[in-house]
Amino acid sequence: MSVQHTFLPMVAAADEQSAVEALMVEPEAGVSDAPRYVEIPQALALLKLKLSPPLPEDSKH
Amino acid sequence: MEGLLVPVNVERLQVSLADAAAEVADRVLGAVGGAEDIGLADYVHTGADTTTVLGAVRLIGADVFAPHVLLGRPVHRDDAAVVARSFTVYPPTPQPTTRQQHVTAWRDWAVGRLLARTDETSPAGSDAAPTPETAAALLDGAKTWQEWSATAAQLSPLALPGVGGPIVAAVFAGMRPLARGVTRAVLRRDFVTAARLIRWMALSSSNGVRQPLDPVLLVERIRLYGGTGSRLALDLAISRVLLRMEPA
Repeated sequence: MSVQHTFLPMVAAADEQSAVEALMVEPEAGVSDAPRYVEIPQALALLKLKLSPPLPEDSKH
Repeated sequence: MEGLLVPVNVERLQVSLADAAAEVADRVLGAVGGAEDIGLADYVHTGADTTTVLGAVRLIGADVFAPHVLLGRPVHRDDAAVVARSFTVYPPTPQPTTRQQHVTAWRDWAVGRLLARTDETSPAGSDAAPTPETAAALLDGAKTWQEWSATAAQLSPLALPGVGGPIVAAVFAGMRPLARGVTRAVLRRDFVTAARLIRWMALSSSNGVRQPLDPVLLVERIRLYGGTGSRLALDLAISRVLLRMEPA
């Protein structure tokens, strides 16, 4: 029995066809193409923030 | 009965297709690494959903012929029949108009071109060459290098020996945007895209095109830092063969 005779589907359903077409042109098949870096609109403002806790003042004995 | 109908979950379909594509990529990878043939027909007979498997074959595209064009392995008759059947079940768009459809049409053309090397008759539409103008439009030098490299990544299944044609020529003429795209993808840790673009670098390097970046180092970097996933592993394996590197 040839392979051709064992196949059941004749034509894929429209949803299956469109799913294949979408994956064929997606850079990462099955994976979102979302940016890998998070955009930080206020990056400069964040950089100006003092992220480190203030150093303790020298204790005076 | 109408109330019993459940809308098809497209996302679930895509996950199933991606999983099946990973299985097909694993089989091709095994063939590139030493197995005798891909065993596409065997996969069809494993009990997996046939339509999904054939969709996965369409996704992997010309890469199913990688063992043949890279290593000179014969294409098993049943495997060629599976590829031909995938075009019957998922017929090509007859008149591509959008950019995405043109990308798909070129990928289909590559499959038809390599399928024609076998005894299998190419299914209708798969070997019909899109016009060279569409290749020029897809990889136009006027595009930004980001757009250019994203399109080149989508067309990476054409980065195989024996495919040729205007897409390959256009990529060979774009080493600078290609190098920029690879650099960007590596910096973004988008290793899937990087591996696809590196294939183009590997193919052009094997054809004597001068490279701004060293593809051998890039292949090793991707393998060490981000080399996971079947399709990515296949892209790297193809590049290794093209660059005459030792198997990983």
